[in-house]
Formats: sequence, structure tokens, C-alpha cells
Amino acid sequence: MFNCEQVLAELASYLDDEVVAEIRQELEHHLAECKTCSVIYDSTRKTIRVVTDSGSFEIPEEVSARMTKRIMAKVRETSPPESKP
Amino acid sequence: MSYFPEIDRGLNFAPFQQLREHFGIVPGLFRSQTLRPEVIEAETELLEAILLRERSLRPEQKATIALVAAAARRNGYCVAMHYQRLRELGTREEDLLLLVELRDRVSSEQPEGAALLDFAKKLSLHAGTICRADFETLSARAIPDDQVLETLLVTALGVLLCTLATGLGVKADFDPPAPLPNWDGQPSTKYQLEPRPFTTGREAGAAQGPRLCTTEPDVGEFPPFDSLRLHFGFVPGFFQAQAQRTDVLTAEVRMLESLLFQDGPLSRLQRSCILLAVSAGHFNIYWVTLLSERLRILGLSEDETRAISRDHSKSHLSGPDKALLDAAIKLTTRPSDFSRLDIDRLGALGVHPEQVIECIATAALADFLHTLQAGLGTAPDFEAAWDYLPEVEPQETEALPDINNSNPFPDEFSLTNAALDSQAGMSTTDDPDSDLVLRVQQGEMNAFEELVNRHNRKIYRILLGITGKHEEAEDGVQETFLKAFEHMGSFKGRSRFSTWLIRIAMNAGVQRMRRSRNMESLDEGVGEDDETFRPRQLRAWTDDPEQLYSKEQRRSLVERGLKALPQKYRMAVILRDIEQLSTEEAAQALQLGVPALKSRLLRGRLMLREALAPYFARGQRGGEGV
Repeated sequence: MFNCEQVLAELASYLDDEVVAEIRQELEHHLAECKTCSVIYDSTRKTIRVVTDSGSFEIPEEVSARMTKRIMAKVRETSPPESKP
Repeated sequence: MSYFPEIDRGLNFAPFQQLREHFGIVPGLFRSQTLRPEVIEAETELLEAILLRERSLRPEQKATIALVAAAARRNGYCVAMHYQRLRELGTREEDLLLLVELRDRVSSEQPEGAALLDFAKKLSLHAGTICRADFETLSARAIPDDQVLETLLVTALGVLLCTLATGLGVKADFDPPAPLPNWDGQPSTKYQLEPRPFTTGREAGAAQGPRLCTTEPDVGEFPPFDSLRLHFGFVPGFFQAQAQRTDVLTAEVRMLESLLFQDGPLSRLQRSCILLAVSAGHFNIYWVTLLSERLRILGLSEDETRAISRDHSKSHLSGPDKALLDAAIKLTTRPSDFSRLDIDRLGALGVHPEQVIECIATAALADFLHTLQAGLGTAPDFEAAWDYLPEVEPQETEALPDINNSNPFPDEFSLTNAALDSQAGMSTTDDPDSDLVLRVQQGEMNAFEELVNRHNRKIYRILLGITGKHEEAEDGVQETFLKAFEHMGSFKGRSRFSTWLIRIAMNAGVQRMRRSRNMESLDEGVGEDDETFRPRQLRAWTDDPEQLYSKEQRRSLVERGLKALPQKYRMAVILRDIEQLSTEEAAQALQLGVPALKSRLLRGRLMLREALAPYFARGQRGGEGV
């Protein structure tokens, strides 16, 4: 059976659903028995959810439009892109 | 001196202390692997258990066997190393010279010793031809089974050391014995390790089965067997046959854990493929069968496993992965042809030095497993996978110059890492931007405007992640798109346009930070120390954390937490969890292998979890201000 160290080592893959069946079985067996690892797993899973849904570093539409305008003005000052070889 | 740089591991690095004790110095063979300290630890444990510790054979007898194995394989480095040790142990110089020339030493006085040396010589060169008759010869001389087993182990280890020395290109630490020819790097028409059909093969039939009497293993209470059960599903017969040597089994399993069961610079899958290809190169049906099963567990299809085993040039592996197998097969079946060019070729394909060292160590391990198994004669644990054996000796395929030339910034983020490119497994057909890219390359300005619209928020977020400053991020976005536009003609679609763009942005961000002298290292090596971090917040979180705070509050908490992370972890989390890149794409963008990316990502997520826990743990609402 996995110990807590082994669970932590495999946690990244498990969180991303990228573990093989044998490892998954070991992990789930351990998580069912170990309260500490179970809390770490569950709260890390929720961390990912909170981060993904947070809209962090998002910028307003008008800032995005302003950047595009600025960039295209610069681009038009330069020559056309290199032709495809 | 070797093909690889040496890193100072400090005086307290335990394996080096051990080696100093036995050799007086740390042999270059191990110093040349300092990029992979875990591998050195596992190798030293094996060395200690098999060669250095006294058991049924004395250290001098063991060193003699290792010397004969090295001389039979014409490995100058290992001959000099064992020669020096025997000199230290008091062996007479004239006896040593006879051994190096592979002439029997005082055979009339010590017939059993000479018989063991003959056996070791044959085993080290042509393991596949060892048969029951060889054991009967030893038995007729009343050599006990534990000494035979020890001879098998020392010879197999001797072969492993030779393979390592050749692969690492290490130069002798000790003066070689006077008449020693310059063997290393001298292709010899006489010396070729010819893979021959394995004697426990189809023809041998009834001759299969263990050749030594071993004690019944107490498999219930032996942690290395638990590890084997975990990774193979059972304890393979190869290990059960060595049950009387629990110290060696412990070291062997440690080696497997280090080089086969865990991800490192190379993934478990890549390492298993190397072991399989080398075993197939040796026509070792036992290991081919067992490793095929292992690859099945790891999710590789039967067809692909068979292709890798029979002729990996016809498999679907990436160019760099095929080149790794080419190198491993060449090193183990034609060592005299192996040279620095093979290492350079891997480097040109973007394979990192750590990965090359792992490939060499894995190939050496495959040689050890092959040699030992051929001696033990254990029958395959499953129905033998005969159709997995190559028809003929595997030929080296030409390494593919699969190099992405679309990198506009070779000095900063070299895109020669084709291994990473192929990891992502993408082509333009997967790329939602490919039509727009084509139109821009044909001179259509509006198409570029559409690309800027699509991607400027993402690029802004990434640059904010690197620089931490809105103004820097905004300027960086402009710089990124201008550079992308300038180099659009050379973009060939080997990765997604967005991944290419992210790499340009990261380069721009890094340059900006360097200019402001505020750069934390984004690339502190693959083997970064993630061992010291331990989660401390251990209270369960509320079932629905999103309900506790408004979206704006959550955003503020997450941004604050992210900004507090060290940059290399922050970038992994941003690319994966905010930008939603796949693991492979994120690894590619950060110029990392997948295992290293996963390691950083886990560390980043756990650190962020620590930062958020006071707000989301049960009963914490209102306890912390947002």
C-alpha cells in the first residue's frame, strides 16, 4: 500500500487524471484510509477549481481593444511579414 | 573528464563518502553523473551490496571477477579501476597482468577459481550462450550455489559498469596497467557483442527454469517485494530466484525505483521503452515478456510495444525518443562504436544532458538485468512474447534532424527541444489559428489583427505573471506581437501558434525582468528540490468554497496568492490552471519535460492551497479579511 510520501509524489498526475489504473487503485485505497492525505487531495482539487474560475489577471474589454489598436498601428508602420519560404 | 559536466555535491554526499572509503577517490564514473544524484545513490547501493561487501566470496575474488569481465569487454576504464583496487587489496602485479590478458592465473592451484573466471568471461561477453552445462561444470568442481550466484551478480555488475563507462565517456582515474591497449573508443572489427538467441529460448524448451537452488522467499514481509508487486502486479521469478540475497534485492529494487518506476527527466514510459528495446537487442525473451507487460500497464498498445521491441524505427515514437533507443541499443550491442557523436546527436535533437545520463544508466541497467537473468535461467513469468523479438539484429536508424527552426530567439528559449515539441503531439491540423496564420503569411493584415484580438488577453496575463506589473505586461504584449509579426514567415506550425506566441512572450518577459534586475530563475533545473515542502494547513475545506465569497473577492484572493508564489511555480499554475493549457503544452511553453512541469505545478498548487486555506477551511468564513 502507498505511504503518504508516495501519495504526494503521484498527486499531480492524479489531480489531472493522468495515472494508470494500478496507481489510481493504490491512491484511492490510501485516500480512503488516510484523513490527512484526503484533506490535502480534496483541498488541492478545490484550489484548482477556485483558481480556474477566479478570472484572475483578466483585463476589461476596452483595455484589450486599446492594446490591439496600439499594436496594429505599430504593425502597419513596419513592412509586411516575411514571406513564407 | 567525461561527456557530461560535473556538479559539486559537497563533501557530505553519502555515496561519494562510501566510494572514497573503497577506492581512495570518487571514480570519474560516478562524478560524471552528478546531474542525476539519485541515480548515483542507487548505483552505489548496488555496488556496495554486490562488489564491495564480503559475503561468500572475498572482496579480492569479486574484484578479480569484475576485472575479468571488464577485460573481456575491452573496457579500459573499468580494467584500470578494478586493477587499482586489486593492487590496493594486495594482488601481485604479475597475476593482475595475466588476468588483464585473460590468461588463467595459477589454475592448477585454484581450479575452482579459474572455473568461476571462465564462467564470468563467457557470461560477460555472450550471456545468451550460457547453458545448464556451464553450471554442471561448476557443480563438478563442488562450487557452492551461493558462490555461483555471487559470481553471476558480480559479472552482471561488471557489465553494467562497462556500459556506464563507455556511455559516459569517462577517462581513467588511475594509471592503466602498462601493457593495456587503448581499447576505449577504438572500433574493433574483432570485438562485437553479437546478440544470440537466448538459451532459455524456444529451442531450449525443457532447459528453462532456475539453475540455482534458492531458499524459499518470505515474500510476505519484504518491502522490496511489495514494491515489485505494486509495479508489476506480482513478484517476478527473476527476483524470487535471488531471494537468499535480500541485500542485493533491496539494492536492485532501489535501482528499478530510481530508473524505471518513477518519472525523472525521462518518463517511466520512456525508460521502460529503453529497457525493452535493449532487452530485445539482446534477444532476452524473459525481459521482453516482462517489460511488454509493464508497458501494457502503463497504457501502451500491444501493437506499439511490439513495434518498439521488433524494430523501433517503425513505431510511433517521436524522433528524439527513437534516437534515445538508437543510442541505448548501440551502447549495449556495439559499445566499441559508441562515441561522443552519439551524445552530440541527442543534444542536437533537444535531449537534455540529464535525460541522456538517464538513458545511459537505463541501458546499463538493462545490461545488468540481461546478464544476470541469462545466468539465473529463470523462465518467463507469462507466456513468452516470441513475436516481440526482432527478426534480425536491430539496425540503428538515422536520427531525425527534427529541429524546429521557427525560434526567433535561440539565445533565450532555444526551440531545438524537439523532444518537447513532439511531446505536445500537435501539428497545424490541431491548431485553431492555422487559417489565420496562413492568411497573415500571405500578407493579409486583418488576419493578424484577428490573432491579436484572440490572444492579447492571454499574453497579457502571462506577462503579468512574470513581471507582476501592469505597465510592463502591457508593453510586453506589444513587444510580443511585433516580434511574432516580424517572424511570421518562419513559423512552420510545428507547435500551435498560441504556444509559439507564449514562448515569445515569456522571452520578452524574462528580458524585461533581467533589464530591471528583478529576475528569479525560471529554469532552476529539472531536479529541483521539491522534497522539503510539506503541506501545513490540514483542516478540511468547506464543500462549496465558491459560495463563501463573491467572484471579485475570490479573484483578489487568488491573485494575491499567485503573486506570492516563486515565479517558476507561479508560471506553471498560470499556464495550466488559468490559461488551461494541457500538461504537454505548458511543459513545452516552459521548455521543461512533463515530469518537471508536473513537479512545479504540484508545488505551486500546494503553496497556493496553503495561502487560500485560511479563507476556505471549514468554519473560517469571516475569520480572515479579504
